[in-house]
Amino acid sequence: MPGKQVDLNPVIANILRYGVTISTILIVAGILLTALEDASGSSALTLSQVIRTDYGRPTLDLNVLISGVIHLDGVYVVQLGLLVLLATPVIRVAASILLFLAENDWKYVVITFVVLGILLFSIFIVGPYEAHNGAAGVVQTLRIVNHPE
Amino acid sequence: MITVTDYLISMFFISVAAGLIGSLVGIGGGILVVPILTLVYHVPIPFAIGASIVSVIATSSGSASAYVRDRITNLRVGMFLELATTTGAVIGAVVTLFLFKSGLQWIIFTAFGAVLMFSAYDLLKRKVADTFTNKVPDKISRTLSLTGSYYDSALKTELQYAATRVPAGMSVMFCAGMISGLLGIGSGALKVLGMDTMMKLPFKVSTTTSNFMIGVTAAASTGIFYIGGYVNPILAAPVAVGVVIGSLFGTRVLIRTRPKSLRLLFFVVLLILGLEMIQRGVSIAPLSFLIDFLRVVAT
Repeated sequence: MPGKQVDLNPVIANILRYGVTISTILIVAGILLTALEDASGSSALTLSQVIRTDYGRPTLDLNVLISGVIHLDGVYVVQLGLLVLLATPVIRVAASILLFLAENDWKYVVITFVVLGILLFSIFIVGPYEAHNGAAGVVQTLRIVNHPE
Repeated sequence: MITVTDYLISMFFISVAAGLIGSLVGIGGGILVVPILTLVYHVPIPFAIGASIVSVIATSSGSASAYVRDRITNLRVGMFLELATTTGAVIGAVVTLFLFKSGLQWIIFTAFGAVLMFSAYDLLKRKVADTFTNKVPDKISRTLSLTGSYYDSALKTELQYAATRVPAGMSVMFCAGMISGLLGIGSGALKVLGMDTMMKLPFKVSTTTSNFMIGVTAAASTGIFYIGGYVNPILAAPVAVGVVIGSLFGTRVLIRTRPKSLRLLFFVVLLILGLEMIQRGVSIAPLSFLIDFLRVVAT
């Protein structure tokens, strides 16, 4: 049975709010930077070129991401924003473990651990598997079918 | 020739409109994103799903924070059911990528069309909230503390409730998670059905807890789509920001008004997009080769 009641609502509400706010700011900044780069002419791309070349495909290399953000490359700023967005529910679940611990609700500590495990499994096991067994070849043919240019 | 700037601007405004109308009629605007990206901008469907599912996390997390603060959302019910929704979402995402890689994307298009048609039907024939709320906890809901109470502002009383038929509810949640991962939508209506109709939780608790769960469910499949390389930042950016702004605007400005004409408009949009998606699915299905073949044989 749950022990003493700790109010976990405000903490979780704040994680969600800050996560979405920060990611939205980053994505908007990234869009503006991309639009500026686009306007300057050097990187004027069409949508079908983006799709065909998979331009801006999320990097899995943290160093590349960080240096891209430091150099104010729009695509990397958007990527960081998307990562923050993806991390928000994961952090929320992780925080719930601590909060259920504080309430001595062991059943829910275990349940929440399992949910966190499923999320991490998808990010660190299934995701890399799909990246490795990518549909690059299939996408290539699809692009040519959908975007004859 | 659509340039990146054209896309960013046009898709941003389309996403704002989708989020706004979606929140006004009570269906997530995310359901419009995949049809628009695939049919209008010719984005390959897994990339459209990748862009859409990101906006689902943002919308859910953005609006859920308000209800969590109001203490209507039941965090335990949500966390427990997330066991089922996240498992379903992982399977759904893997299945959709498998179908795509196997050249069976017509199945994804057709399934999406069917869900759009069902949503259109649901919008018109929306059932009234199930008024029966279970108050007596059974064995499972007692063991798992799937009980609670909330202050109902309309009745001005504290309402007690307890979940019942938990296994049936879990099964519906698993399906909702799978559809979410498969098609890149929130599938909130199905989650509400699981809690409200199956588990006899109050409608208000069901809708807010469903919204709360959508973000974590979407995160399970987004992990796969993002790391797998299907969330293109340029494609996803205007969608993520646009749908959130639209839906926040919708809930803040015109809270709980569901004008009939707007619902009718949304019904027509869902119906047209549903038919288009099914048409696209059928047109690329091997079925058409078969029909062509038969036609040649016949003549």
